[in-house]
Amino acid sequence: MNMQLLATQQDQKIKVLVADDNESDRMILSSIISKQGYEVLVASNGKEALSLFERERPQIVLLDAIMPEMDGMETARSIKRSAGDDFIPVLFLTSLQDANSLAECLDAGGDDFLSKPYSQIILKAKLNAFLRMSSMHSLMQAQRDEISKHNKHLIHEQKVAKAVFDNVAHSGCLNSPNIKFMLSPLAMFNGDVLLAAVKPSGGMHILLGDFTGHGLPAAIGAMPMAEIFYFMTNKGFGITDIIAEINMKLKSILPVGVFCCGCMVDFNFDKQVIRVWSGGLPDSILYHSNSKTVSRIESKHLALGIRSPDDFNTELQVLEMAKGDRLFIFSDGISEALNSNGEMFGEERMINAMREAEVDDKLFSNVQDSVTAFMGDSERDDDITLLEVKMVGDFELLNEHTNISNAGQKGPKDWSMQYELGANTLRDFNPLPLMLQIVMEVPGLRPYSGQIYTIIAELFSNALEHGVLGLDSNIKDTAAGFIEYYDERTRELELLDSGFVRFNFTHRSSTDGGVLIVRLEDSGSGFDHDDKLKLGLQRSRYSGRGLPLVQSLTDSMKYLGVGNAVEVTYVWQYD
Amino acid sequence: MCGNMIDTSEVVKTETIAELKEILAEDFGILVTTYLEDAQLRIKKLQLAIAAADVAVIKAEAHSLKGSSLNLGAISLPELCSQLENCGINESLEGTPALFSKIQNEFLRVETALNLYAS
Repeated sequence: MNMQLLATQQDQKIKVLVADDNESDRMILSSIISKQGYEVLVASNGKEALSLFERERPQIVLLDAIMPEMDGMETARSIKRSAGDDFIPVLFLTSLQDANSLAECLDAGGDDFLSKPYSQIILKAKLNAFLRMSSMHSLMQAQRDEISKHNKHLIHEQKVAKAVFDNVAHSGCLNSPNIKFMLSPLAMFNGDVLLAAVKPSGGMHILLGDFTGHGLPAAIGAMPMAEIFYFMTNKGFGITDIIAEINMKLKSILPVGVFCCGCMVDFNFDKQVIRVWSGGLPDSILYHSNSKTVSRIESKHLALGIRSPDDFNTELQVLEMAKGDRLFIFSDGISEALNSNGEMFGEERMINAMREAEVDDKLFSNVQDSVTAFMGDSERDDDITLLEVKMVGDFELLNEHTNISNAGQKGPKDWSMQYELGANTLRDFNPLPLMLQIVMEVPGLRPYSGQIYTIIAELFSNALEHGVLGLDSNIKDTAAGFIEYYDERTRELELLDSGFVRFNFTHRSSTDGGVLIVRLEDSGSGFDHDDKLKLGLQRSRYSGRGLPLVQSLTDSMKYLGVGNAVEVTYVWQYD
Repeated sequence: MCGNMIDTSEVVKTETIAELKEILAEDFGILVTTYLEDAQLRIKKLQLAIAAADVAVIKAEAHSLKGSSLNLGAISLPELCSQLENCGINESLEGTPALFSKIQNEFLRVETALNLYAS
């Protein structure tokens, strides 16, 4: 910036302080400097110079090195101290010749020196150069202050956003007693997402996602993912519907090259079975408590957000998981964690750490300690997320998911409806979320959604599987049979070309609650229901448990006609 | 040399005088007067300091006189002052009376030359 311009901009002259004990020297300097258009302040010794500096705040100071009262060196130090963060160039006026004395001037905080006899041209050039430097310095300071202000603002915004993000991405039932997890954010935001929610039927959905990249760009995709996960789980949607929906959403919003490796698991505590969809993540590890062995669950799919909905594969792996068994899911941040020699932690080390656990409850902390010790002080270059979920018995977990108040009490109280699904619909549509949603419109009924979901889910799967598809539930008597049964169900559904399931709902309100009557009819040939109901009470846990459960939840249950229709009555009271 | 006309260009640098005249214009005369008064004062102080063997004053006054004389373009005077300043720095006053009279003589030549330029 041109100094003359700066001077006029500030609407006052740039001030130059001259301190010299020789009057003739002062005269010469003053004349040269005022000819340049600057205002000259004159002092005849160091003390005077310092007090003049503090009063007038000149932009540049010329000091005689040797002066009575405070000498030039000491004056320079005091002026620099008083200037603080501002850059005030100090030039020594000197007839000193030897290098040591000149160096001493600079050591004292001087920025340059000017030798006697004074040369007009050199003085002019030096003044210009130093004023240019000081104006650059002020500009830099202003920018520094601006940047620091912006930075503070940014950090504040990130904190707020992080709070929102954590509410969305790390909420749900992650604090359940059967879950342990470790999330280590590389940046303030973590590219890893951990979601867990209790299903209306009492099971649990969990999802671990690892977005490409870290920080804010990686965290953004987590928001819709979490929304879909919680919303759909809460509405009773199944794992395949949810994972397909998440894939579709991520595919449509994420830019090319950004995707999410993920593993979603549906825990069935009742049947002690898990269903797994895993794409792009390292193999998950299933620890069997009885045999103290581990097996791997391969990641069979591409990551989420890559395939178009038409090509997306929702095929699940169905596995038994006994009570006390633990499932470990982790992002590649942990298997690829590096030590100071650049080696990867790897799954072998993880499994070894598990083997060393004396009790099952130490598995998680052993792995955690082992990876931390392995990495030592080496720099982390990825988010590290580890999740352990233990298989527990049915109803072992508190039903924490419904706490929505029935305030207002407005809504449908007396109504009935019939909803019939044909073969084409049954093949690939799960009506349970929709049915549950309609029923839950009844004011005050929401706290019972878990029980009601269980009832209609059991009745519907009976109607579909045994009625319409004609599957034999006896296959389910063994664990292997359950898996076979599941495969056959999938096969039969694909081939289905006729049949129906008909829902009938009737609700009547009472003073302290209401009565819900659910009747399901199917196109099947029915069965000897008297027999089945009695038998069911003695059946193994793999099958036939459904009907006694429904019976225990409802006030009455009866089969009608040839056994292809069933009606239950559910009486409820306001919570 | 006493009383003889002097060659001013051997005593004071003509180019320095030219530059000072350009810088100060009509104030050049005032500058010369100021310098001469200041220098006379310092020379008096030096004389007393040498008599009293006050090395600190010798050092400071010789230094100051050296500086202002340099600025006025004096050719030999600054070097003589510098020698005296060194005596002060080294605290060896041997030969200072002789050096001082050289300074006095040279100053008279400078005074004559400057007055010529100023008139």
